[in-house]
Amino acid sequence: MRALGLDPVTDTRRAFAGLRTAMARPGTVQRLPAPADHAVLAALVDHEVCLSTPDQRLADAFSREGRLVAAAPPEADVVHAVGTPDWDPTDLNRGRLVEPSEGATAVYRVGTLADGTGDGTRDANSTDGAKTTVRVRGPGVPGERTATVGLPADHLRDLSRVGADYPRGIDAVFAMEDRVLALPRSVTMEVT
Amino acid sequence: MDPVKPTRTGVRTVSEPDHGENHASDGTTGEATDESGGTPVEAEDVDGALAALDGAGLAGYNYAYLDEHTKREVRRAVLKAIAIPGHQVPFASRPMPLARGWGTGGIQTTLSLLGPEDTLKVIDQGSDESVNAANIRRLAERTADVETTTDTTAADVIQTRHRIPEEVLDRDQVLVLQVPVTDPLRKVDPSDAANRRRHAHANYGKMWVHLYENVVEYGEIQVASRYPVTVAGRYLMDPSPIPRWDVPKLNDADNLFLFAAGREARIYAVPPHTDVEPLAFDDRPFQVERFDAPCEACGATDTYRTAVETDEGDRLVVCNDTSFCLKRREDAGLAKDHHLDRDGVDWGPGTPDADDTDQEPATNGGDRT
Amino acid sequence: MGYVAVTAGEELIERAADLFDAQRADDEPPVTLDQFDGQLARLTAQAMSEGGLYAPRLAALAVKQAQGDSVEAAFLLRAYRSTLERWDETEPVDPDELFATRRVSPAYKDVPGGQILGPTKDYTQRLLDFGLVDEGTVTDPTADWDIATDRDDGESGPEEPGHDEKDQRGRLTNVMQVLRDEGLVAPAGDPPTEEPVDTTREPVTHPPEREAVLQELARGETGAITALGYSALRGYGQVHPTLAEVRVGQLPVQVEHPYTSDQVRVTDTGVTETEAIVPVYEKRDDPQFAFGYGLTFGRNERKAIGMSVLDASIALKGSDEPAEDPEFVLDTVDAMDAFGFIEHLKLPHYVTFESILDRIRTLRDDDAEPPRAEAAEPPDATGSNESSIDTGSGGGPGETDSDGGEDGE
Repeated sequence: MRALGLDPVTDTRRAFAGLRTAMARPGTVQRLPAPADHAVLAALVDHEVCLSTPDQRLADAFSREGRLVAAAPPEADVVHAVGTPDWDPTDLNRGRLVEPSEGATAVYRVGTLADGTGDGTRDANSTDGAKTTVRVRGPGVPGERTATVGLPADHLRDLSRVGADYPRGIDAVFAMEDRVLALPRSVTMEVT
Repeated sequence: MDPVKPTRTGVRTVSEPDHGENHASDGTTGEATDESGGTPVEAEDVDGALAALDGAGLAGYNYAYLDEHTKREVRRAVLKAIAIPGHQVPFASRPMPLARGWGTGGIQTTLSLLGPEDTLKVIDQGSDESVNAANIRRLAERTADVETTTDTTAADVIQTRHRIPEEVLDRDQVLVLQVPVTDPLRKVDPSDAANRRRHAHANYGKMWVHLYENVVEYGEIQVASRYPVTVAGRYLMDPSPIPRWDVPKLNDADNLFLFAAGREARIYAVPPHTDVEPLAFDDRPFQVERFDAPCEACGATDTYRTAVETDEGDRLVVCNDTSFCLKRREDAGLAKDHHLDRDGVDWGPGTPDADDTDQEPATNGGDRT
Repeated sequence: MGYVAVTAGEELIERAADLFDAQRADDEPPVTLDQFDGQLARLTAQAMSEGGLYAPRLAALAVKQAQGDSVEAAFLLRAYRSTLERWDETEPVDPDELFATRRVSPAYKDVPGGQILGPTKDYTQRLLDFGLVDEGTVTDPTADWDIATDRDDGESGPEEPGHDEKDQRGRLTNVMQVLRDEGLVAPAGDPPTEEPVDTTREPVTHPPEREAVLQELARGETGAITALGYSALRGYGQVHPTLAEVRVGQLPVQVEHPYTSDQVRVTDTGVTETEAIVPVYEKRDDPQFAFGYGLTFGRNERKAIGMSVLDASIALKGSDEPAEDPEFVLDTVDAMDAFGFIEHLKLPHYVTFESILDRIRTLRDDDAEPPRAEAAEPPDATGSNESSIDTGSGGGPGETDSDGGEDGE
C-alpha cells in the first residue's frame, strides 16, 4: 500500500486498531492514519473481497498489487463512497440469514464527522453541506450516544431501515481526514 | 538447474522483523512488488538464493509471525464478529506452529491485534506459568516484539484459556479467549449445518428443552462450564469453557471480548456494554460454583478457587487467578477494581454483581416439589 | 505447610524438549535424510500426503525430527508450508500424463497397455524377513535384470522416468474413460470454469462442493480414510466398488512460463491414483454407474482407494451412514484437527473440572442430608469480606451434565 502512502504493516495495524475500537464503541471517534478511508480499505481489502470504489487511483493501487476484485455496489463486500453516494444502503448486500457476516461494509469519506451534536466540529472540504445527527443505542453503547455525519438524513434513514433486518445488514464506517466513526448493524439509529 | 534470475515474482525475499512483509499465502503473482518489505537476494540459482537465506531464522518471518494476508482475514472476521455480537464468523484459519486444539485461534487473533507498543498477558487455567501459556507468550514476544506481563491491570491484550481474570478489565483492554467448541447447540446436535439454521432463525427450542429435561431429571441445571448465554437478546453463544463464576463478567463490561477457535475456524465477539444473559428458568436461576474453604495462600473467599492435592494427602483450596492471589497476599482486602478510579464495578461474584439474585446459589429451603 | 504456586515457564519447556530429543541419542550414527527418503519412503510419503506438501527431503527431515511419528511430521510440514510464499498455481494436469510404474485394473482381466504389477508385495506372503536383521548393505535384487528384453515395445535401453515417457503415457488407456465412452459410467461433470475453491484459504461450508471434499480427503489422515472407507465396505453404506484402476507413478507439475506463457513442466510428483466404479445407478432411466476418485501424494494405495470410496459415498447423498455424511467425514479425517484436539486433552483442565466437581458435590451432599432451611455460614470466619459466597443447598439427585469431553483450547 505504499502507493497510497501507507505502510503495509504498521499503518494497516493502526487502522485496524482504530476501526475495531470504533466498531466496538459505536458513535465514538477514533484516530487512524490519514486519509482514514484509505487506511480502512488497505486494512480490509485484498483479492478475497470484492470492492466497489469511485476512486480510480485507489483501484489502480490495489490492482497493481493483484488485490483488486472490482464489483458493482450491490455485489460488493466493501463499498467505498466519497461524499454522498449514488446508491442506497438498501441496495447493498446484507448477507444471508445463515451467514449474515457476508453483509457489506460501507466505507464513506465524509466532510463532517463528530461525536456529539457537531458543535465545534472540524469540517474538511466537504463537497456538499450535508450534515445529520443520529442517536445511537445498542451493543457497545452505554445508554445512548449522538454522532454527526456528513451525509443526507435520507441516506442515514435508509441505513437505519436496513438495520431493521438484523442480523442481516451492512456495517457503516464514516471517515474524515484521520478520524473514523462506525455504526455496525447491531445498533439502532434514530435520525434527528 | 538453470539459473533463475531474481525477479519480482521469482525470488523469496528476506523480511525485516519490524516492517518486512512476505505475502506467504496469496495465490496470485504480482503481489511481490509492494508488499514484500525485505531485500531481494541476488543469486545465480535457487540453491544460491537459499544458501543466502540460511540462518535467517525468525528474521525470515513477518512482524507478528503472520503474513499480512492472514492478518487481514482475521481482522475482517473480528470486525464482523463485533458488528454481530455472539454470531460465529467463519475465517480461513491457518496452520500454526502450535497444534490444533492448543490455542491456534487465539494466537492468530492475538497476533493480528498486537503492535510493538502493546503489553501482552497470557494465561491458561488462570495461571501465567502454565507451560502452554508460556509457549504462546514466547511466540508473541519474539515475533511481535511486545512487552509481556503477569499483571492483569497492565496488559493491553490478554489471551486466556478457560478463565476471565478476577480483576476488572477496563475499556482499553481486549480479552482473547481460546475456544474449543464454538457452538452451544453442539450439545443437542452434532451437525453444524443444522445448528447454523437454528441460529439463523433464533430457533433455540432444542436447547431450552435440553435444560428443562436436566431440571426434570436432576432438580437443577447441571451445566458446569460452557454455560449457554444469550447475547444482545439475539444469538445463543458458548462463552468457552470458563466457569460459571466468570459468566457474569461478560454482561455490560467495559472491555471487548473476542472468542477464537482455530480448529473450528470461527471468531465471535461480545462488545463492551452488551447484554449477556445466561439461560435459566425463573425458578431455577443461574448458579455459580461454591467452595468449601478460603484460599490457603491469601485467605480469599470471593475468588474462583481450585483444589490442590498435596503429597501429604491433604486437599488445599487456592485462588485460581495466580497473579491476583499474589497481590492479595500482599494486601488481603484488595478490591477487584483497585486499579480503577471508580468503585462498585460489576465484575461477577465478589463485586456488586453478586447482589443480583441470580448470582446467588439457589437457597433451597425445602421448597422443591 | 504453606502452598507455593509453581512457576514453570521457559526453562521447563526447554528441558522437556531436551528430554524428547535425548530419546534419539542412541550412540548410533544418525539416520540420514537419504535413508529416510530411500529406505522408509512409505513413511515420508504419508507425511507428505497428510501435510499437503510435496517435498520428499523436507518430509524426511520432518519424520526424523518427529522420531517416526507420521502425523507429527505432517504437522511440521503444514506449519512450514503456511509460512512459504505462494508464487503461482500450476496448470491442471490430465492424469493420463502420469508415467506409471505400476498400473493394475481389477475390473478387467486384461487392459490396453497391460496389467503392470510394478513394485508390490501384494501377492507374496507376509513373513518376517530375518535376513534384514544384519544387512550390511541394501541389495538391489533387480540389479542384474536384463532390462532391455523386458520392454515389449521393442526398443532398447533402461526404462527410467523421463526416458521414452511419451510412448508410455499415451499407451495406458484410462479404463474409466472406456466405460464412459460406452455410457456405462456417469460423466464426471463439466470441467470447472472458475478457480477451484482452496480449502486451506476458505473455511469449508456444508454442503461442500466436490472439489472441497476431494481436497480434504487428499490431505486426510490415512488411518481415518481407511477406517471410514472400510465402514462403507463393511456395510455401513452403499458403496462397494470395483476399481477401474490403481496407478502409481510420476505426475508432471506444469506452470505457465512467466516470460513465454508456454506451459512448461518444472518437476514431477510421485502420486497414487485410483478410480472406482460403483454399481449403484445414478439415474433410473438410462442407468449409469456412479464413480469415485482418489489421489494422494506418494505411494499410499490404501488411502487412495479409501478416498475413492468416500468420494463416491458422499456423492451419493444418502446420509444415513457416517461414510456418506460429508459433514461427518470432513470433520473427522483431518489429521491435524483430530490429533490436535485429541492430544489437547493432556492440557490442564482443572478449572472446568472444579466446576464439574461443584455440580456433583452439590447433588451428593443433598442426597446425604435433608435440605437445610437456611444457607449456612461459610465454614471459615477468617477475614471473610462482605461478598463471600454462601454455601447453599439445592438440587435433587442425579448426574452432572458433564462438559468434560468438550473442554479444551
